[in-house]
Amino acid sequence: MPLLEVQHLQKVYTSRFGGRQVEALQNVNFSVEPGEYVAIMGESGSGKTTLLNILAALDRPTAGEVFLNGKALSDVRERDLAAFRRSHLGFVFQDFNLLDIFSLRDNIFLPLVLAGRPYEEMERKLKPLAEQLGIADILNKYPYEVSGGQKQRAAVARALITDPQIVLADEPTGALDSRSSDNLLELFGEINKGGQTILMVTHSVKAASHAGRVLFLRDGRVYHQLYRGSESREAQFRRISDTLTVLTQGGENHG
Amino acid sequence: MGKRSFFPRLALVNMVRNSRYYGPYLLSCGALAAMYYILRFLTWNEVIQTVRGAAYLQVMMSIGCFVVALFSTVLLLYANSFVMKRRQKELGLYNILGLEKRHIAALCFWETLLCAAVVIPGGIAAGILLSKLILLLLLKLVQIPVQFGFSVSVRGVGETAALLGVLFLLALLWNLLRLGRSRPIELLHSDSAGEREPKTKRLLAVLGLAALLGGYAIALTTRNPVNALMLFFVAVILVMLGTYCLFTAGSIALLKRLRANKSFYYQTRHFTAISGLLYRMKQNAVGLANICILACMVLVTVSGTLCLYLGAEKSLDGRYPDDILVTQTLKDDTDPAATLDLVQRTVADAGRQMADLRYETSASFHARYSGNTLLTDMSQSGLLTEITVLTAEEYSRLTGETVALGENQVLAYADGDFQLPETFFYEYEEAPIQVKARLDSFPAGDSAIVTNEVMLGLVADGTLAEHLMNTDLARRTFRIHLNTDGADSEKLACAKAVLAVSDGRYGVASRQEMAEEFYAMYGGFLFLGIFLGLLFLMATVLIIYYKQVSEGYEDQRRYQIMQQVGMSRREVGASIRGQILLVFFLPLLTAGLHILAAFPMLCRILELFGLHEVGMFALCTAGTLAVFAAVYALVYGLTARTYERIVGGEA
Repeated sequence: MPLLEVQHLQKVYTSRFGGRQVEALQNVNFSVEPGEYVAIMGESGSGKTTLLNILAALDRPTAGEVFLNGKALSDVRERDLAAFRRSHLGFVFQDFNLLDIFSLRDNIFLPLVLAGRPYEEMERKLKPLAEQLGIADILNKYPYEVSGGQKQRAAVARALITDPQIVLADEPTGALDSRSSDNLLELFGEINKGGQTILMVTHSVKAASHAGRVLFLRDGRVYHQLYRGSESREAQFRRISDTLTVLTQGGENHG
Repeated sequence: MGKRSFFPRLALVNMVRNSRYYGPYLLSCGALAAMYYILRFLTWNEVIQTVRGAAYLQVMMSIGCFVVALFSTVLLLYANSFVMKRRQKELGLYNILGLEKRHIAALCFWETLLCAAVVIPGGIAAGILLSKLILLLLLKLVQIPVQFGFSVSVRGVGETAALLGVLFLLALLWNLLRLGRSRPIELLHSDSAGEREPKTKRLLAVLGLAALLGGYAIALTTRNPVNALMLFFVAVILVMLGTYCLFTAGSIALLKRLRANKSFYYQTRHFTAISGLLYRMKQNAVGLANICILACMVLVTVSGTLCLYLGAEKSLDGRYPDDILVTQTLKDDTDPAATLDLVQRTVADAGRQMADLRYETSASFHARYSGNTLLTDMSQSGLLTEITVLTAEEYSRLTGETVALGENQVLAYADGDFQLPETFFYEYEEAPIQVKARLDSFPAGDSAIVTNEVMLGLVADGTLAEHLMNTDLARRTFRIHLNTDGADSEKLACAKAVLAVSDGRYGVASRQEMAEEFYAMYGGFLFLGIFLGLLFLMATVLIIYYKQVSEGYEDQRRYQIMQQVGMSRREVGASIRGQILLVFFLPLLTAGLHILAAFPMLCRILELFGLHEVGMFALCTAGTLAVFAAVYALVYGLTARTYERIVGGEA
């Protein structure tokens, strides 16, 4: 059984005074198996953010359904949604979304504290994670005291500490310099090897080339997908670039 | 569009667009101008100048003007710096877009000029319109018949315009100074500059606690009214110091201690609250301490002056129980009987019927009491006493009681908690004086003055009486107390007639004359209390409003992040609202506590004004507190809506 299954997802935005309708997602279908590392690519306006928001249960689809481990997201009651997100999903954002009022340690603990876990358990879980992510020395610092790469690694720790079924990453390298980006992508690879399912939305060909499978989104549909298989990263990089070129030109032809 | 009109137009557009900041700023500046004009108008008003006790009123109005001016400076600069801080990003953007610093300076100049052009005439106009109403209110309070007519004080207008002009100039200079020192990139990013975690200043926290407790201790233990008045300011300064230290350092020390307790801190309810409060207290501690101090000022001035005003009759009763009091200091050649005769005749000539005539001769002197001995040598240490002596004969005549005193025996009266022992010594004499009986009241002595001395009354007979009353230091006094019939004005005329024939031999106190003075003074006090109370309240409102707005912008992003990390919108809202509620009501709570601690001391001070009505003062204080709390809550509720709108995402 797939871990995540997306069926006939449609999202229509209606402008505030009725009338004009914009179809952000038309008919999106795909599934993610446990332990997979999937990247979703597409231009601005292709529906990436809308898709991610629906997967994160921050937004409701107009039609269609998302199943996580066989459970339909629409069956989760509104007031249980926050707890559901907390215990099943992990998030990594482009701009880190760390809170300035907390030290890195407390930022990482936040989801566990919200879930009411005891302090000893938090420390026990943090220790190996902090070492793997290389942030053990800076846990007592505040977000404004550390670099972007360190912030993003703390954010990854926050996403992983709840042992989520899937990590949703929204442009995780978007605000990082190239070295920090490489570091982070390598980390994602490692984490994925450890069995963690990751779904990443990105613009970056380089980021996507790390993933096991790339989905291309255009005009609210899954247009194409590319398995990496046993290809090297460099070869995968070229294949993605080529696909994007075709995608763009195709877009111009249709447009 | 010519280049010349570019900056004025840009300035205008800016102000309209930033009306969320500029609106309250301009409104409060206008209110300050109006208040200042009204006080100046009243100082020089002809009607006021004809009131008995006008000097009190004018002095009070002048003090009021000074307070308003001082306060305006602080408030205007505070509001200005808040507005400019919020606009840093915008000014930085102008700089990036190619406006040089001198262009931005020109922009600032035009903005200030526009502000002044709106606020000064507007505020003065409002002041002129309201001045008549306020004058009527004041006249009502000092119990003067209302007069018609409307006037404008040109001097008041001039002074108000000058004051506001100088203040706006100061604000402009301040802005230009900041602009000159800033760099464009800093201007652009100053909004998002990281806030350092606040340091624990344990020493300051301990110092604050000590100061606060010291102030409270003074307030709770001072018994003597005169000392209370002197020590009150010491206590106030200690409590203010304590409040500032505890709000800034104490709150952070406490929160950090809570945070160090892991099993307490890492609980869902405490986690965000402690961190959030730590962050908020760092930014708001001084502002909150300000609100607290302002609240105390409002409460003390309004409740105190209200109590004085309402208690004016009681106070008069205590100090001037009779319509007319004649006091004559006796020398060897004076004849009290002649004075009595003259006063009686004069009252009759004035057409008044006399009632309750009482007169007595007594002697009084100061002494130090130490051990069980009274010494007239004032260089000695010991309790300061004022001793009034009556002969047994006078006492019997006054009270109708027969008194039989043996050699070296007295009847003794003492006010307050003091008691003379069974036997005591006078000067260095060998024979002890024995207290035969203690009295609950004493029919002689001066009730009009409250001092820090213990009043002792002694009734003695024979040689002891002679001995006590004829020391070099003793002042022998003849007093006549009487009431008359007739209206207040007739009573007053009668007292003046008695004074007119005195030829300097005696003094006359008229209750009716004192009543006019009391009402002029206490009415003036109350007026000023309410007026300044309103001023402080306005300052409080302004600070709360600006705090809400800045909190709103800070929390906007926090809201989003917390939701993404797994809090529901409701949870986030409840958590943040809880913190804000605590932060805003902490000053009110602290102010209430301060007032409670100050209450005994304020009671003592009111005793100086001859007011012993603890119940009434408690009622005044509770009433003032209730009204203030209601207004505070109302203001909080209204400004909270602005906060919700900002957090809700509408910038």
